[in-house]
Amino acid sequence: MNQKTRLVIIGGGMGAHKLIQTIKESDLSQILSITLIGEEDFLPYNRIRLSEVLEGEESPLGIIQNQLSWYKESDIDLLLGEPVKTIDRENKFVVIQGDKKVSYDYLVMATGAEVFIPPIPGIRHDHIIPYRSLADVRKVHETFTKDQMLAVLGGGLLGLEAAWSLKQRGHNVALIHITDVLMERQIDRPASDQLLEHLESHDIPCYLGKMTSNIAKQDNRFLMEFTDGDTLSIDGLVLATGIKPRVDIGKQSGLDCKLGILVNGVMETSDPSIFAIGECVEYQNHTVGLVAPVYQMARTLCENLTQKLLHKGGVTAYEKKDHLTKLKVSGIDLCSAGDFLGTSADDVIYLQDKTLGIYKKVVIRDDRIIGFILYGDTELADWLFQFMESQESIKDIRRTLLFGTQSAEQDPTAAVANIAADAEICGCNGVSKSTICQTIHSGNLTDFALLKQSCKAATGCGSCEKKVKAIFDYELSQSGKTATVSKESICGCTDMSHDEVKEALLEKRPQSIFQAFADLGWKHEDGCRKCRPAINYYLLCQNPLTYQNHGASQLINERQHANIQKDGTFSVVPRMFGGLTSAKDLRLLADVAEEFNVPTIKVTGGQRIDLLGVKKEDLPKMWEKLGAGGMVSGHAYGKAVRTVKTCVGSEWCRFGTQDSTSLGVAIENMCWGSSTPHKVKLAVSGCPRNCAESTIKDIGIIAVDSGWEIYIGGNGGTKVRVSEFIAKVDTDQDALEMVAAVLQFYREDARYLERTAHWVERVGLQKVIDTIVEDKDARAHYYQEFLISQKKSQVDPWAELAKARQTKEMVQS
Amino acid sequence: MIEAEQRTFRPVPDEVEWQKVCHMDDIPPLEGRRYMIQGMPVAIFKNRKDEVFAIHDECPHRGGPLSDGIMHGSQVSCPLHDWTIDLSTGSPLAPDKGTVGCYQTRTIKNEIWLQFPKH
Repeated sequence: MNQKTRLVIIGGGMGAHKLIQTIKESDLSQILSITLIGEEDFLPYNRIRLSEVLEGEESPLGIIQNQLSWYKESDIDLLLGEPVKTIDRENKFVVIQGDKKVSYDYLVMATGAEVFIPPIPGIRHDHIIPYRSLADVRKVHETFTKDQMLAVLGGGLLGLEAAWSLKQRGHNVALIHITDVLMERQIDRPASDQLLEHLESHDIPCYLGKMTSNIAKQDNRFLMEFTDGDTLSIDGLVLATGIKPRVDIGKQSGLDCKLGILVNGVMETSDPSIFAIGECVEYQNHTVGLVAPVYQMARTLCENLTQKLLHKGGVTAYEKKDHLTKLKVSGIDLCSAGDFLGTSADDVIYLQDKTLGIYKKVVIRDDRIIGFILYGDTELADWLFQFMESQESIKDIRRTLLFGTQSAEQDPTAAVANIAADAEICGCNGVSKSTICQTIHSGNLTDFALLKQSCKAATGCGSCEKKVKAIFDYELSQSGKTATVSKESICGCTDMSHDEVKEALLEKRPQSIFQAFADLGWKHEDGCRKCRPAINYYLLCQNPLTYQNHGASQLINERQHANIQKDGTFSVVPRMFGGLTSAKDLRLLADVAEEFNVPTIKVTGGQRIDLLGVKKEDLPKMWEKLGAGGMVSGHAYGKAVRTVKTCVGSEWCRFGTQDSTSLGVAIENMCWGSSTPHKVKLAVSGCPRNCAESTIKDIGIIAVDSGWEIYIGGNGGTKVRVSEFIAKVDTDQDALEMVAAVLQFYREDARYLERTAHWVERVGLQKVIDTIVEDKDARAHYYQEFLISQKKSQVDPWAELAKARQTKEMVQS
Repeated sequence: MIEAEQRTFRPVPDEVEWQKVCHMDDIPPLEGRRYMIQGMPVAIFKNRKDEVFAIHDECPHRGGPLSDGIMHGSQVSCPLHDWTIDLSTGSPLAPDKGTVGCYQTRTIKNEIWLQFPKH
């Protein structure tokens, strides 16, 4: 086909953009030449995000949907800033400015809507601005200064977003609404009341149930006069009083119009060569104002054109559907759908917790959801909406409907019974529910620890342990058995628990690991992979100056001072104190990476650089190079002090209250090299904004104006745990002492492989506070002990290994 | 649980020869060392009684280097996912399944010899 079919679109809004996008992705793109005539002097933009521009958070350019090149690529003619004057339907052309004619084979009206201006005397004025387009936003920005008192007329979705955005931008702003329920098309009175409270608490006074009778000009101000006699004096007004379809051009050209341009189910107007989509359209006595139905119309039209021009593809007639409406105001999670009011014959399930700011309401007819409102917690929105769309019966889940899919967790017994037999419970080891059940029954197991050992469930990352335990409990209760708990011994080599072993070691003071096994009556003279690293750690911690670390009892990572990866290669992470680096260090890292062909270089979460995929035999040479350049091991592999993450603090940050970077460096200098029961991560943030994420670290420090707050027991891993406050100190030195004392107490008190989060939960935060914060002498003691233990540990293990050139450890062929 | 295929050869007795691999002192007690022999990774272990074990150096689970594991008695625990393998049989502890090839070893004058298929 040589001559392409000419499709002209009038309007450059979201509907037009969607239509172009849909055509571009279809076979139509080959046969259509498209011209877009837009009145606005702007590429099509995302009108939903207009409030962000109003707020000043986003630039106008930032909400453009596609750049010019995107249109050029597909040969789309753009005529922007060109209002259409007339349409000659007989000769099929559109007349724009300068009497220029644009011919079409098919025409699409996508003229959108404009703000409905209520017939109020005095409403036409330069300082009374309708809110609808980028041009309107620009006008608001240019017209009003921030000290002026503004009002938004209209408390619907758009008006609320406008008021909120103006407030965020720094204006004094009030909201005026004609009914006494905000967003009455989307929410009911209780939700509106909650919303009202939120707005007023953010200093946006709301005038509800106010019908404006007159707007009187008073010098440079306006006096809003309401029918109930109240008045309000303002400097300017923004109108969000609803929209009405733009039908002017359509009407002029003789298309059938009522409130909007009339279309049938395939978006055809009364002229078969002219279609219409979007907010200018009226279909079955309804107009639309949300983006979802507009998009749906664009897709319907594209299907229709495909069938018409390519004689293929069925057309699904446009269908009026319910849509999920969300309010886009920060700090408010609010959405609704369908018939959220219902009738007196309908069932309503609702939940309101004013303290939590939660309101949930679901309207049910014949066991089916017909509408809902969610405020404060909208997590269930999509889930409920699915039920509403599918009209699936909710009879069986009524009891937990408002709590959603997760509600099962509240009732673990029911949850466990409902898990499918082949469902994978332990993702690390691939253990299914049926395997767990079989293991329990075939082995007649009543001991949970034994179950884990026998089927390996919950022995990987441990995140499924609760679930496995629930299955275990359920299965036992079903067969009328009770769980037995064998004493939690360290491993099969002894009946002693971690705490008993630690006490016995302190008493007997063995100086080697095998002496310890003999003294404590170990069943296996070599111990096993579980007890050896534990006993080695306990001996090291208890005898920092005399005990000789036993390499063969450490995990390979600690033996090799690198982190073994899935393919048996290692990763090397040099220490970057407090996350600081230098051009020299970066150059060194680059050189080393090149020399040893490091395949992957990655920035870690702990603010350092990871060289991945290093061959075992290259490790000593690599360390030698790094060591010669002044870099030491980051202990990223060990049960040891890992990193001290910092933010830039008061040295650079305009919010920083303390020099968090320097304190972080000082702390890392003090405690690097220390071995600990499990890995320990620290962080220092320069202000309560907490950019270093101190609240999920083992020890987190947050600056306040007058000093440092110290938090412990945080964890960002499998299960997030927020660190807890233990003390506030005034000086850097106090902070260092407190950190060292807490670390030493943890080193001595915790069980091997127990993270601070679990330790704090087991012994109780109060014990740590009593020992370290309240008892000055104890704190001084632990601080000193820590410094002593550091005397032997701050030897760079890489330097040692590189020096010794333990080539025997390396591969030989 | 993954049932691993056999990753290595088992020497047939008539076609074998003995090869010297390393010195006893090259292997610290309760540790393993990897040697590449005839293109295959072999892990050699020594316990505190100077008993020597040699095994194909890939865990039957995910191929982890057993030579980097923790040795205890006549077993080694893989550094990747803690499978524990019996060094004299090449079998993992239940419930894990699979096998890994073992080599006959001899110690002559403090030197470790291994039995390999003849070239």
